[in-house]
Formats: sequence, C-alpha cells, structure tokens
Amino acid sequence: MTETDQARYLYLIANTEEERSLGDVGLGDSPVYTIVFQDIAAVVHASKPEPEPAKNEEQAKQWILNHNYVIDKATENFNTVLPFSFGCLARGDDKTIKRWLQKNYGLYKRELERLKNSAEYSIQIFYDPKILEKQIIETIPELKEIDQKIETMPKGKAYIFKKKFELGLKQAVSDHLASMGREFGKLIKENSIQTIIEEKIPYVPEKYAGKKVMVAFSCLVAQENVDRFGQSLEKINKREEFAVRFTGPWAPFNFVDLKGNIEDET
Amino acid sequence: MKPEREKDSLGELLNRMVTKGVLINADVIISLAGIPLLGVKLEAAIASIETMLEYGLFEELDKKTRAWQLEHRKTSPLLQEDEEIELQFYGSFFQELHPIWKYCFIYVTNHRIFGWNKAFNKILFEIPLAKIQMTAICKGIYQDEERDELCLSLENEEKLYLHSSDLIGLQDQICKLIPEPVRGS
Repeated sequence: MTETDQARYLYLIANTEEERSLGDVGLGDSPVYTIVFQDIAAVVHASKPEPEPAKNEEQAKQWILNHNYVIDKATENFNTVLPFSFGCLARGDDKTIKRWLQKNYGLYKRELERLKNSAEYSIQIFYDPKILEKQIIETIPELKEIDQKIETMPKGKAYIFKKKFELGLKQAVSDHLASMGREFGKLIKENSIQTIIEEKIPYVPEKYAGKKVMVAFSCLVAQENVDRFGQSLEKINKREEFAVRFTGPWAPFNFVDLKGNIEDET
Repeated sequence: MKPEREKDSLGELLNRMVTKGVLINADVIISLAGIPLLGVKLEAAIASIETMLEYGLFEELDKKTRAWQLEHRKTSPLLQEDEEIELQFYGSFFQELHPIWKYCFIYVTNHRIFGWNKAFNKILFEIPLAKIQMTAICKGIYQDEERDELCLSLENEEKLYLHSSDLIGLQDQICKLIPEPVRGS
C-alpha cells in the first residue's frame, strides 16, 4: 500500500451506480473518481493520510475553486448531490469508504431523493436608506411637518426638534423594514421548499455600494419553480428603494440534513 | 430576474464550503472543516448582517434556523473549570492593535470577556475581568454614523471597544462582575 492510498479526500455523495473517473480536476489536479455502493457513490481523490495545509493563500483559493468545480461537475452528471464542507479527509481506502456508504446507505439515499431536482439559491435584499427615508417622510405628515419647520426655528429649539425628528424617523424606518421584511419573507417562502436566514454574507459587489443589507436568505428551490421565483424577486427588485441579488444554483450546502449520522459532537 | 452564478466569487464559495455542507463526525474522518487543510486565514471574506438582527425581523423563522444550526454545529466555546457564562450576545469588537470592527459571539463569564468565532471554533480576543480598570460608554463613528460604544480600559493603557444592541445592559453586567473599586462612569 502506498502512502497516497491511505486516505480519501471527500467532495460529495451522489446518486450513481457507475464507477468512473471525473478527470484530474481535484485539489492540486488530483484524479477524482467515484466509489460506488449499490446506487450511491462518494466522489473522492486519493490522498496522504496527513492533512497538508495550503502553502499560501493563492493555493488555498485554488483549492476552494477546485472543490467547487468538482461539485458543479458532479451536479451536472448526477443531478443534486450532497456536498461536503471543504477539507474532509477520511482515513482508509476505497473499501473503507464503501463500508461507510453501506452503513449509512438509507440515510444518504433518502436525502439524495429528497433533494433531487432542486438546488440552493441565495437571495440578498438591499435597501437604499436615503430613498427609503425620503419615502417614509412623505407618508407621515407629523414627520414632514417637523422637517419643514426646523429650518425656520431658532437654533436651540431646532436642535431639540431635529433630535425628535431623527428618533421618529428611525422608528418609522424600523417599523417599515420589519413589515416589508415579513412581506418579502412570505413571498420567498411561498416559492421555496425550505428557507433559512443567513447571518453572514460574502462581501457584496460594488454595485450595491451605499445600500444596506436588509436580509439574506438561502433557499432550496425546485428546478421547475426557479422561473417563478425569479419573477417574484423581480417585483421586489423593481422598487426604487430595494435591490435584490439573486445567485445560484448552488449545491444544497445549507439544506443537507444528515441528523441521523451526526454523533454527539461534544 | 435570473439567478447569477458568480463562480469566481471566493467569498461566496468560502461562505458555503468552509462553514457549511456535510460535516460528518465519523471515526474515519481525520480532518474536519478545512482548517488544517487550508492553513491560511481567509475568514475576512465573510461579512455580517446587522439589519435583520437589529430590527428583529422574522423572529419565528430565525428561531427555527438557529435551532437547526445549533443542532449541527459546535454550539459553545470551551470554558474553563468553574467558569460560568453570565451574558452572551452577537456583537462586534475593536482593538487598537487590529483597528477594524470584527463581528463574533461575545461572552461575558465570571472570569473573562472573550469573542468566539463559531465557524472556526476560535477565540478571537480574551480579557480577564481583573484586567479591566474602567468602563465607559463613548461615541464612535462607524460607517459614517455616530453611535455609542462601550470602552473598556485595561492595564498598560490598552483599550477594548465593544458594540452590541444593549450597551447599557452590557456595561451593567460587566460592572457587576469586576471587583471594586472599578466603576462605570
């Protein structure tokens, strides 16, 4: 047994009965192939048993892109897959992996069937605080009135009224966003199989500069529903004060649920 | 509108691949979650969303999401012996050594204050309570807007700034925990 036979880097689990190669497309151009048990397979490359950290940031980036590429390619070939987090290295050879697939076959198969013909999409809704505030002032006569009066007031009084105005506006913006948020959430939920709210988002492209993130979702959407979903989002995107960023399809990173397999982590 | 695929957006990929996806804790797995393999810091590519937390949007849905996440991830940092959590919140901190606001889970315990990055299970900063000499709420500028921040003065004239949705509550809690004669101002 050579050293590279002693571990397998895991990319994903897919629905396939075919033992095949996906080409030298893995981390560091490693050859990627399927290890099949009945009609499911793990997609892996053979690796040394000791994790070797990336040498520099460039390599780390390349590896992340490689990992993603394998997942994309497998999705093209095998329909929806169960994607692994970056950096899962399993000790053992093909037989070990096969035994592990066998042991958890029911769970993986069930999850693959559940996620079939669907994909993950990410939705970020931005708002333009300046436009939104302007719109809100127009709709609340009390605020509009104070706003207009402030200019003619003596300095001291103007200060107090300005504070009052700011507080009132802040509250109104907050109420408005909360109610819009509920509305958008409903619209998005109607078109998705599953929805989660993201607490973190990747850096936002330049074109959204000056806007604030209102809310971000990851959604599991059935293939046949994607167009309708896009149309619903377009309605939000058309509004002057909001902008929607819609990305995907991604492998269902957020929605793979292998509860049964996760042992007590503590 | 049609979904876009920004394939080369590293931030987008990192967010998914390093912090999400199947993480199995089986006996066969040697290396989990990419940290040993990556060996390089790439965490900067992920930003936080304040707005929805600030406005308490989607509380119901959010609760479910959190519950799901909680079941699947390392949910708490490793505590010292007889250490108890007095307060925990999602907030941001700022140190003069690394002058940028960073978001994380912040814990106030009977021993220390520390920031914990959940995805990487990493302590980002740590201050023993005994080192805090004074607490004060002060004004700071963040993204061109003035806001209140909690400033903790430490030994050697070091300072740690914290931001949360309830600064006064945070200050009270810290003041209760730190020994006299330190007092808030």
